[in-house]
Amino acid sequence: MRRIFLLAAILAFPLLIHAEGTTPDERFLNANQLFEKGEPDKAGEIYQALVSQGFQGAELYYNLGNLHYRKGERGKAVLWYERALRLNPRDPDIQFNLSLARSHIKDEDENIFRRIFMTFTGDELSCAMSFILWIFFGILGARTMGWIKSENWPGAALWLSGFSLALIAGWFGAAAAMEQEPMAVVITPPGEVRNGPGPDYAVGFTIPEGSNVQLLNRRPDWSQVGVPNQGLKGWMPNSEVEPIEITPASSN
Amino acid sequence: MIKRFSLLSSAVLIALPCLLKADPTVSARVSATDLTVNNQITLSIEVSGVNNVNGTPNLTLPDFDTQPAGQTSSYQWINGQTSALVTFNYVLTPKKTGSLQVPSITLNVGGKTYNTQPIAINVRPDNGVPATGAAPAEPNGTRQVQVPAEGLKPVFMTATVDSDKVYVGQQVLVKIQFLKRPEVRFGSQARYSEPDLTGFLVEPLKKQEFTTTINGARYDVTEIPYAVFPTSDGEFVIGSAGIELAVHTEPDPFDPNSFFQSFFGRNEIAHLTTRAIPVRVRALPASKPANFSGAVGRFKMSAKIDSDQLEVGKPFNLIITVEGVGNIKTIKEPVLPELHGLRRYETISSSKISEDGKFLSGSKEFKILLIPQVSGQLSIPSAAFVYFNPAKNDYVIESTPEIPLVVKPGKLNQADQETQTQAAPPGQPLTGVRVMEKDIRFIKTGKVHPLTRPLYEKPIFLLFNLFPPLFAFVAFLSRRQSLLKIERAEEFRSRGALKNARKAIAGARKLVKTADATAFYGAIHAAVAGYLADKLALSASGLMWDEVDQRLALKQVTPKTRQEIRDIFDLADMARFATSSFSDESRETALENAERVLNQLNGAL
Repeated sequence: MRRIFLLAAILAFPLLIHAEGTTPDERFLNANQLFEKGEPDKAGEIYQALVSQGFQGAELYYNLGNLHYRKGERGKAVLWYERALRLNPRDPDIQFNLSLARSHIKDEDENIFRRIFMTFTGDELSCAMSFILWIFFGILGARTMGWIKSENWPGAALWLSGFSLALIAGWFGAAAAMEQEPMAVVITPPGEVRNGPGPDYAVGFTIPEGSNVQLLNRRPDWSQVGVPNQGLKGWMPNSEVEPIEITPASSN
Repeated sequence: MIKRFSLLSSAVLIALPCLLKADPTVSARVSATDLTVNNQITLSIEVSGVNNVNGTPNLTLPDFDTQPAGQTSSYQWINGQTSALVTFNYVLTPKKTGSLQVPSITLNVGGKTYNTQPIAINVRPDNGVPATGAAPAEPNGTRQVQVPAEGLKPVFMTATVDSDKVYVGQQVLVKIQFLKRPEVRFGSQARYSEPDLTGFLVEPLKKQEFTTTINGARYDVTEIPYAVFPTSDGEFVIGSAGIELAVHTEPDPFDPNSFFQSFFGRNEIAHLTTRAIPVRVRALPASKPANFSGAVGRFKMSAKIDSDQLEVGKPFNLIITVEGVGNIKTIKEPVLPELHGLRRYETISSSKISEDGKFLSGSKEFKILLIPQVSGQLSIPSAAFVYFNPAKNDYVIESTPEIPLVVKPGKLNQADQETQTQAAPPGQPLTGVRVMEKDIRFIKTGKVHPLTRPLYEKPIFLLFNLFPPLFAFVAFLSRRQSLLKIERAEEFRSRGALKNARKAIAGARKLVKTADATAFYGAIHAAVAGYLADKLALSASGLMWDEVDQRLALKQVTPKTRQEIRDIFDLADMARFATSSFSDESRETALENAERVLNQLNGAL
């Protein structure tokens, strides 16, 4: 009897999945259609559900940014555009919308080196480095073994690939070092940064909604943030500042 | 004689105003020179000795927030000439603590520039101690009553206040009353001196004239009310007001100087004054809400927009109105949170003051220019205005409801238009792309993927990238080994000698049972000869016994072993020519002998 139930459950599983709706891609498409029909709230629920279930995508994050922008929530719009930019750093639409969402901020504390080194994603740099690594050591090994008879091109190829490898490794190292300094976005006004982790501490400075800050320490309720270019540090409630990076653990 | 005297008198009277006319004087004074940071003081700039003042003082006070508090004038009539005392009042709020200064203030009067003296002001931190330096209470000052203590006179004046214990910023109604019996006639225009109201912001109210009866006597009353607002806490005094006037008297017919009395002395000069009134001003409760800006009274606030057709780039006004009873002029702009999707420009404020002779009331309107930046549904958030209500003895927070906005797509904003105009070649019309509205780009479709760790953190990726360096390393070792084999060939040959010999012995073992004795003994010979050749660095094919024996002797190989080797070689040579005489047992013996010899040699070589 137990086996019959088990068999029935196994057979019914695909039907249950079908009843649940569709694949994540189809749900994303469905949400986009709802957005286009003028039902942003319903679309937002699906986008947010996909994120909560551990799905990512530059388009998904970008659309969430658009959703918050339309609702007038510039801080949250900037947060999602930043996240989209992490996945697709050279996308002109994301760059444009991010710039527009940030247009109200005067004297943005922009780290130009961070932007340059974040032009490529970690996976892109990994693949490029892996490719060059195979070429360099492949040529080196084959030449050592005497499998390459030509005397001309292997030397030049080795120099070129070696230089490229050093460049990409340096780039990758710089990007990784910057990843060690997590960034966050001020998502809601008034952006009051206090001198300690609590509402009783005085407000040390204020920072506009949508500004990028360096996340120095994150406690259950309060986060320590920094504005390195101006040498400022302080504490904000977690409800007002959110890290840009989404890790598999944090998305759940 | 009389005619000559009259002419002389007329000349003096005509010349007197010119003689009396002196240079104007400009001075500045403040209500207190020592105060706490949360208090306010009044700055009064007085211009006397002029009929008219054009313009206002040029005020630049970096240490203070400055709020205009009106202008008062009093006129004097002296010998047919009027002269004004014009006072410009300002409320100053210190921006910081320490020794501050009201710098020299420049004012243009009658085409000439006048400067006031700088005034030093000490601002202390607010530690709850009431400010000192306010005007001290007059020791003999008593509260004025409607009827003076010395009794009724034909002409007298009084001063009253509606309350002598008030909060900072709360209105005090000061009434100066001038009473005269109807039969009293004046010989000249009255010269009125306003009370000293240092420490207060002063708003003159409408003058009242009425008739009253006191103790059966009828009086004509002229009432001059003032709404005054204390600017800091402490003990203050409503100073004396005064009137100087000539009261007409009948000449004494028995007086020998009656002629001169009829010409000069028919009017008796009377000096009337009020008594000073002390007022105790209390500080506002310490539990001030965050956005409290000093308003005291009773107010209501409302907000509206002046357009119902909103478009991107099209400006409109948000009008916030604060109305009620209190010092309307000094009300500051309500706090409006950050606006989303709207660009905010300057605020223009205007006041409407009304009064009923008792209270100063009115409304102050703040027009905030806004320009929508995006289309869609936006909203203007709730604005907050905090004031202190003395009747409730508490702070009150007034707020406006949130105003929803529907903004349609609109035209290009002015700044972008200017940019494009500059980009167009001179003399040519602007052609090409015109941006009508700057908005975010539309949503995208694409794929979603499960959130995973980056590639460089995955073990498979690290393992995959370990192969190329590993391959290069192995290639390097292999190459190195090959080179060593070439460079040190004899050593490598010697090292492999036993291995090769055993291989050959193993081959011979397989031939033990076969009929081919030649092949078996050939293999035995090859094993031993090959071993010796490898160890002694000789050629196996051209191996000569004498040379071998000599070298083995040099290597300290025992003669017995050398003999056994020789026996093996001889046996192998014999087997090649007489195969039938060798049985299977002798093959086994030969095999054992060869193995033993190889073992002995391996220890020796």
